[in-house]
Amino acid sequence: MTFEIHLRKSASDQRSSAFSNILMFHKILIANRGEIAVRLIHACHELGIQAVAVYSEADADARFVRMADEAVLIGPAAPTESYLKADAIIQAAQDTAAQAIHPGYGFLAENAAFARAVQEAGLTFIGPPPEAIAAMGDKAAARRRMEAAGVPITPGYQGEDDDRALADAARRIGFPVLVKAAAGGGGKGMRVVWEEADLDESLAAARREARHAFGDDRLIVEKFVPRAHHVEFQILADGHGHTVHLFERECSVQRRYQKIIEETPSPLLDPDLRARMGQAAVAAARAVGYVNAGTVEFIVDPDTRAFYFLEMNTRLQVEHPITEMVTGLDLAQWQIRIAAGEPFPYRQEDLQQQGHALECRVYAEDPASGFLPSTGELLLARFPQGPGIRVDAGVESGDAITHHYDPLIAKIIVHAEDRDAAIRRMTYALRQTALHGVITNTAFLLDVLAHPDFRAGRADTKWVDRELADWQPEAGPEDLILAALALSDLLPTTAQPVAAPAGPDPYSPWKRG
Amino acid sequence: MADILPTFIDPNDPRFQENARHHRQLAEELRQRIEQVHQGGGEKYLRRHHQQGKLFVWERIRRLLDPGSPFLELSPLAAWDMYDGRAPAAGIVTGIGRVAGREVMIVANDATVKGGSYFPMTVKKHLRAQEIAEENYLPCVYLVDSGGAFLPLQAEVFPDKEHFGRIFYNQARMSAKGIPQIAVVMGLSTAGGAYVPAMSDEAVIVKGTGAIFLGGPPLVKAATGESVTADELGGAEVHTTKSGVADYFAEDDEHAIEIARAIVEALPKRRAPRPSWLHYLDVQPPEDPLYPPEEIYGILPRTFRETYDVREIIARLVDGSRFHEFKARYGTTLVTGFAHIHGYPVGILANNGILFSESALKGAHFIELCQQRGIPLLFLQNITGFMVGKAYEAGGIAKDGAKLVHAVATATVPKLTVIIGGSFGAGNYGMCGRAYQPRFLWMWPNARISVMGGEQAANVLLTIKQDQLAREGKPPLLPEEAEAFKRPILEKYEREGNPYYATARLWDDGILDPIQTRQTLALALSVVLNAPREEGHFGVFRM
Amino acid sequence: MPAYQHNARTYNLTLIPVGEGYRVEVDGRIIVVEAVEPRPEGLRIRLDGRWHTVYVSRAGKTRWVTHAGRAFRFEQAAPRGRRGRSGGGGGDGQVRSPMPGQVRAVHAASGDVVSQGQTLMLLEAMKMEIRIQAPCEGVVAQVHAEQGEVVEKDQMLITVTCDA
Repeated sequence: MTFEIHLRKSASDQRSSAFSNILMFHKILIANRGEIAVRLIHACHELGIQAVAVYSEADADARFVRMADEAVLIGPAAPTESYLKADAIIQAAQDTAAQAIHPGYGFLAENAAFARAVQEAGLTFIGPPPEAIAAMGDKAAARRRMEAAGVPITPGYQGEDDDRALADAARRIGFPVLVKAAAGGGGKGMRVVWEEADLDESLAAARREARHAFGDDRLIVEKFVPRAHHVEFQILADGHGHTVHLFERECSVQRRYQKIIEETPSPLLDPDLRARMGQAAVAAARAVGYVNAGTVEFIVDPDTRAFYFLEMNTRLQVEHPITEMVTGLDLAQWQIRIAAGEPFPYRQEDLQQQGHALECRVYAEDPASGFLPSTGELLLARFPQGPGIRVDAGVESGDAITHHYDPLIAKIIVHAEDRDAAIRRMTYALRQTALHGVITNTAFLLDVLAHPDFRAGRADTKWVDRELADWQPEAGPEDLILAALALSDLLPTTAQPVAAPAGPDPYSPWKRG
Repeated sequence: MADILPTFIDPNDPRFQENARHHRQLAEELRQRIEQVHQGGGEKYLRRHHQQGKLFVWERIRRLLDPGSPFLELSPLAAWDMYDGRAPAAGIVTGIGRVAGREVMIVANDATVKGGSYFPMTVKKHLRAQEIAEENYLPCVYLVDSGGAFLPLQAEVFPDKEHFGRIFYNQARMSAKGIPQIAVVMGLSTAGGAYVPAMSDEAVIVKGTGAIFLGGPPLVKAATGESVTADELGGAEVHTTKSGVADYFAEDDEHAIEIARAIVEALPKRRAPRPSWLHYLDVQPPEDPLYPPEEIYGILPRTFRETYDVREIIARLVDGSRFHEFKARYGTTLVTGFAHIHGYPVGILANNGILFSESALKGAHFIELCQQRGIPLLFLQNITGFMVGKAYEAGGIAKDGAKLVHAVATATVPKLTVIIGGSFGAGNYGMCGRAYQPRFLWMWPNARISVMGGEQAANVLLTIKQDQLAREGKPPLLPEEAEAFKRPILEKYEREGNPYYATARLWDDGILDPIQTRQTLALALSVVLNAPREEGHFGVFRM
Repeated sequence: MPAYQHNARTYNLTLIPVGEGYRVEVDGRIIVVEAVEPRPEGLRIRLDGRWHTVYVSRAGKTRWVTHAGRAFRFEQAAPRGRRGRSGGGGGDGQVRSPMPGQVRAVHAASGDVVSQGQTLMLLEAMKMEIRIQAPCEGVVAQVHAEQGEVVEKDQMLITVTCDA
């Protein structure tokens, strides 16, 4: 079963007709790799645009390189020598006569200097203006700007630094609070204070730690949300002053800030909260003169339903496909169209969420041994198929998973009529998945999907670290697995291609080196 | 799918550890000795050599080979401890390597060793390399830098069938068979030696250092009164412009090697008269053995008195430690079966004790199987002999042993032999000793080879002595006297049965470190299986 | 058949063809595979009347097997041979002398529990020491020769009752 998404253009039809002569790019350079490069090449090709890939030596045979219309080698495997080399990438764009650069996510995507350099080279940066990137990149400044724009931020105090003022602030904010070093970072000098009685002792301890760690014992106090959910809003703003949100994504299933499962709609939001958060997200984007796709992240207190601005990501998110599924919009294509100057034709009230979408990130890591990354050659990459199942993958059987890059192998995305159906569909999809050669988190994902907390939509951002840190697969190999193992020697080896290498002596020991 | 061989070793067993220490030490001694002879004639001569603008023999070989190509060196320890130690490696380096994508036999003089003169063992090593090249259709590249025969030993170098003249006989016959003969003259190539380039299909000569002539300036002066320099007489200029004795003019050694590589590159693809052995075989993707080869050191006992199961060795040589054993329950002192080494099928015969009639019959049967199917044979030789005694002689052990020897002698499938332990008496014949023309034969450092074991020989001689004394009515030798009588015999056998004594005299193609055996066998199998297939017929087996 | 390890546990497997299927023994336990069809990425296997798709990859000594989204990685382990060594015995637990010789030492007594490959007796013949090894795991039922005894080829030396 597939969905028909009903988008009404009604009044906006006239808006777009005025701009029907927009000159679309004919060639775009994709400054990224892996699944997002594949995703963006699809977007280009659908729009009739040629795609130029840039790649490192480690990716010479990668799928995105094979898919691109042109490909330029920009350096060795290490990202600092290749995917982070701004000048080499801009040079590649000029050499291939590309008109625009899409940075994907990660690498140079949120680098204001890169965006500026792209513009200065006479090319279009497919993303927000450099000023917006810079504004959101400075977290403290961004917080102040959001506060000024009326976007709720975590209540906090960073004024006079004496214990009395801090204690007053804590009482005003309400317990629990987080006491942390003003110079802070990395959790040093950070303490959760659950009740007023513990405040003095905690302030003293935090001050000691802060002095030790940063040589600066100034402290700040902030609201602490114990079972916070991570809920983010997708923003789309065109170059003509029109900004909308494309609803939320619930991303609370994460491990040490690395998202694992995302879904939309969020089981936590009701229409009223969704509307208020959406307005706040739009206000946040407008406050920095945002153009193109972006994401405003909030934390939500499940008990009070209060929400607070966390930060804004000035790029396309990894988890954008679930928004595409429920809204019917192709975000990657809209990024390109907006960058080309096209107005976005839908009004906020034209947009709606249809059904429920889930994304699972399949990582090359071993959840049973501390989520250690696993590298190797993908002997087999078998991805699921079926109605409502989408797979965004950058690899195929035979590709290498190296330590140079992100361990993300693929994103499995499903779309179904409601949350239960989506979970069922995702379970079905994961059960069809087979990845050999590296250890992956597939079994872990299946266990998360079956967990009562997840089923009830209760997972908060610390839930995985708290409940599943010591995860082990539920059982050893069952009879079917052992039978297949015993029968495995009847199969040809995977390493051996079906057609033997040419020549009379295909594996000659003389051919070394 | 063949069964995976199980292992029963215990690496923590003190005996295993002592064995390992002992055999590692033997391997280390081998490594050091090979390293020593790889220095050639030594510092002084090497400096003089370099001063002439010439590259050292190993520098020449490395440049000639494709980058990263293995080099299957033959008999590196030839002439070891002979000629007062004046001829390391017998002054010549021979071996197989890959040049421009194809395997060639390289025969390279080392002029830092007595000017590259031919000692008796130099001749033997040169001829052995040619024999291997001929059997396996390998093009020959001769890197010539030699003053010719070592005159003080001319009687052992010149007159006989397998002496100097045979080199040119081989060149002509190989050329006739379509096996390319290429000479690169990078130094002297004089007197008889002048025939190496002259007999080659194509020859390169290096300006300044290369010289080809039948009689040198002193001889010319004496004979005709003519006064000439070596270069005027037989240098690169003369031979490439006037005489036509050489075909290509090279500026220096490096240039000459480039030309040689280009010559090999331009050779037509392998021109064998018949399809190769490999053509009829199924090659599999190579797979490492399941067990670490280093464990061989601990498995091998320190004396021939102690026995072990040879399957433990096979398990560490063959792909996936998989072995399809043939007739496992019959004639159990000879283990036979099929396996793969680096993807190549092989039939293995390995001693697991004294040979009995049954073991010999089983071996003959297995050789017939492999011959029928074109599967190369690998002999793992560790044999103290055939069973003796009245019952066994009456049972016809001699004729059953003869069947094995007959099968070994007449089988035409490529045969490889590794002497992994003792090689004594008639067992050597049945297990494809040197006389049975295995395509390659190597010894392990712990191996011993002689007509019988030293202890056995001493006892036999002692028995004869005692009988003689008895006949003469004299008292038998006292135990101390008997020991004294035996000692020189034991010493002689130990010295002459030693693998270094053997390899010095080219009774083998080199001593192999047990853990390098698998890789060497892989290279050798690739060489022998690419040779054209030969039909074979067995003769009359005495029944 | 090889043995395989997964998470430090060893699985000893035996595969016996039966009709169009197989009988798989895992450490003595029996799994009946009714039918098998090889597929490019693995196997279709019928167990208890139902067909299942199992993905299987082989690379050297590693095997990857996935069913229902759960992947297992196995490594081939050094197998404990199940069949008797031919070194001097028959297929059962009877150990006979491989050659005529003299018994130098006896290392096992009736009732001893022995493991496969364990040295039970030392024989000297033709100036060689021959270790007589247990052909299987089991219990020594009887020792037929004593130290110093001269034995003939194929003479019974020791009987071991093999574990099933």
